[in-house]
Amino acid sequence: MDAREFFAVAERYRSSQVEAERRTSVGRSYYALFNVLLGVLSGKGVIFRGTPDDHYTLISYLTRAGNKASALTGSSLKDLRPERNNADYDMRVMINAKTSEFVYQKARRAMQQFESISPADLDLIVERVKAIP
Amino acid sequence: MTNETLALHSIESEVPADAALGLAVEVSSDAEHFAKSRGLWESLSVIRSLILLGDPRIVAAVDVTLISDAEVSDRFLIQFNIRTRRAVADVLTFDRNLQAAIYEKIAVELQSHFSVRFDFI
Repeated sequence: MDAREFFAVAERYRSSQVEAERRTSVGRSYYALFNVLLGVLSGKGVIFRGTPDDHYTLISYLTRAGNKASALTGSSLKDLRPERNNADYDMRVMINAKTSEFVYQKARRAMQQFESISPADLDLIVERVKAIP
Repeated sequence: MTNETLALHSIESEVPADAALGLAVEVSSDAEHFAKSRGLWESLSVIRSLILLGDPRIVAAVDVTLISDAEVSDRFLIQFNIRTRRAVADVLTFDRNLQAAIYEKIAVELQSHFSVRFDFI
């Protein structure tokens, strides 16, 4: 499936009156962005281990690829990771509608930022990522 | 003068950001130890200044904590928790400007140790 479909779920629940649904929205926003980015780089031959550490490997690759749009996308992914962890693991904090809306909008913005990278620049990013030890 | 420009100007003129705005930024002892032991303290101070001098209407309070990842062992982030009463659209603009300023001011290999989140109160 196309992970972008997660955004539709996130959008549906971002302003829900039910906190469990707002938490679902936060998680889907994060995973839409994560899976699309991972898929793009994997599709171009970047190797990931298939472990939870891939989240941080992806962030590191994006931020160290020598491209501002890529770096800012990676920065957004890094900021959204704790939001997703709070949504799924920390039942003590209240995830209000402003938080789920903010996470959704930030993930969408990061997605658009990454998709604005030209094919030639994306190839350069992949080349640099593959050269990272 | 844009928010970003204001922040950069203020840092360069060495104005203590929290003193200038009357806001105290509480840094947890764990975050302070982690930052100082890994050469991140200066970066932490710069990001703190960027936050406080970016747009005073956004920031009601700030604290800095060390967070771990529930699923990935040995992964820690120094997290700036910004409490705000503003609308989501305003905070998104602030966040975009802050991200750009951090990108310009902090070495890329150090940026990965920090995260920023907003607590909408």
